[in-house]
Amino acid sequence: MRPFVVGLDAVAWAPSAVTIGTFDGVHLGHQELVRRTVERAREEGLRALAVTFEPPPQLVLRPETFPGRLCTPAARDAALLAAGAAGVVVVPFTRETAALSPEAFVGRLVERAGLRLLVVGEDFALGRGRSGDVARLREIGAREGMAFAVEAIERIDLGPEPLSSTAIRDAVRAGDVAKARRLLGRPFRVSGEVIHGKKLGRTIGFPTANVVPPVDLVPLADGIYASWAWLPGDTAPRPAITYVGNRPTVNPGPRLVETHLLDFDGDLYGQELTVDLLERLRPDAEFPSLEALIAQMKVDEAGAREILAREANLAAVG
Amino acid sequence: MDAAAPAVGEPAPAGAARPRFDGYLVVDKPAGWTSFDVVARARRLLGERKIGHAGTLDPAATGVLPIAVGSARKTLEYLAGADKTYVARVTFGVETETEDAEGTVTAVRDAAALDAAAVEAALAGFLGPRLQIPPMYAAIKVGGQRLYEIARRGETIERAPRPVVIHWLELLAWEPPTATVLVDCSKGTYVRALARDLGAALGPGAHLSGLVRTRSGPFRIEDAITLEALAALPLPEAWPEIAVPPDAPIQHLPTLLLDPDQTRRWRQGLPLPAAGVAGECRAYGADGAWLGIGRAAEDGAAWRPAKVVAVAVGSAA
Repeated sequence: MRPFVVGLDAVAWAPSAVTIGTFDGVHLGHQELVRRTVERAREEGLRALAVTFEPPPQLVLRPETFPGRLCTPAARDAALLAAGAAGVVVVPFTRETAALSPEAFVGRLVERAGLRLLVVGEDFALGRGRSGDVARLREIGAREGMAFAVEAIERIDLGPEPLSSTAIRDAVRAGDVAKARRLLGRPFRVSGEVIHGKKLGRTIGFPTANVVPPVDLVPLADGIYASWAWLPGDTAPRPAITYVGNRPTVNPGPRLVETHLLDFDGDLYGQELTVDLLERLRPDAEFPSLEALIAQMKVDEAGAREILAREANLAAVG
Repeated sequence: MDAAAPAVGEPAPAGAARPRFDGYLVVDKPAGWTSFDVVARARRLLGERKIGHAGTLDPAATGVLPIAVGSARKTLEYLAGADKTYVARVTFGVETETEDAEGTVTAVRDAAALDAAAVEAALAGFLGPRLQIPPMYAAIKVGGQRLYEIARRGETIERAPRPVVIHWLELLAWEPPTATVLVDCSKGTYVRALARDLGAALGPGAHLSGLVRTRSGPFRIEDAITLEALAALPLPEAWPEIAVPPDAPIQHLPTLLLDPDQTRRWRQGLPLPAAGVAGECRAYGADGAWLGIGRAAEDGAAWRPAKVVAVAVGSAA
């Protein structure tokens, strides 16, 4: 069966093993949760589904505290499928959804998605006031007409730093994209359409393709990054150096993600550009002169090339 | 002995056919380069065709990659068989398909409880001779196919364990969940497999997240040169300062000193009578020039030239 992404009402009844979560970023812990769901589904002859919510619950319930996303909904769904889920079920999240009792919510999963086995983290809870914790869900699952089991997966931390979306968002905000990558299992990514800028980069020898970061993405710390750039149709990343900030030295204005593709010459306006942030070289800074900025950019480029060379050519083995 | 070599020290005639470059170049391989890339670059920089290397390093790894130029290629196999030293980074809690950081993650497990004492205790259990199952992503051939070719098709096959010796293991640093480990081991040891087995022994699994080779036989990282530094050197003038003699990997063999007449016989491939010899030896001319490697005749009554270094113009022949 081909993997799919659908709403809950579109899921045809079929016995399934389900994992539920916001899955922001689909980090290593989320991926493991999906893998274990897939494993158990295979053992029990079930279909493995990942159930998630859109928009993210926090954005609906407490929008003023919403910290931003680690990836777009499309990237999230793709990562869940890549981790092995046969399908991603996207439940529209509203205040009404939030008010549902745990029974009502899992009842819909039993009815629509054929829920037989629920695989969740041990500290998972759903429904009104997070009242549906693992113990409660087990109790509900044992009731007549429900008949599903609950499997609680122990918390996974790789070291003293917690493996959580919150920790990764903090890392991104602090510019520690190397750590974000470590915990995500892939680089933190920004995409968007390349817009027309003031084209000052060209005059200083570093023409850039500029993208407005999506408003609901976690704000990335200002600075200079070694990065990989992808254009539509690319099968391999292009080495690049990315500036995030509002250009205090040359042209102060709105915060942009500006990417200079190394060893590339061409017009990218209007194209969809995807940038993977690998490592921050330095924070943003204001320079006394354009010459000083250019000199620093050359140092940055050398630093980026070194990091990118280390990253390159990794497919070959032996 | 000195007096018997009147030609020593005299400059070679101008325009002599003597190869400009001969010996080992100890390169510090940059990350992201394949070992073959490094050989190709060295070949271009030296303008020398007769180049080979021993002990392939994975692209992501850095450190000592000995490049043999000219007659040094005759001792490459001894280098391949020599012990190696690595500084390895082992990250616990994450297992990957390739057992290094390049592969797809296959399992994530809690590693928060690990501490330096537990890692050190586990390391102690890996010392000495042992059987190691090579990674599925390895260049070893099984039934005419390379293991990684099979692995890339998504298949896994049973691999025969291979004998290796781990001489020394030392925990250099512990930044949870990553251990930096000094590994001194025999040829054929897969550090990736060691990382995998260490992860399994401790519970949460692990992968190799970084690798630097600090020694390959007699060649150490302190003596290695970067490709950038090599490119900046005036060649061939600077060659004697950076090259290591071609006989460096065979210093453990006994020495055989030949007089001019014996040297001539050696170069013609003729056996040199001896009494009760065994194994291999390294032969030198009266002028100290390395002549090649000899192997004892079965009855121990002669040294046979097994590898003969080509005649260099200006030597005592």
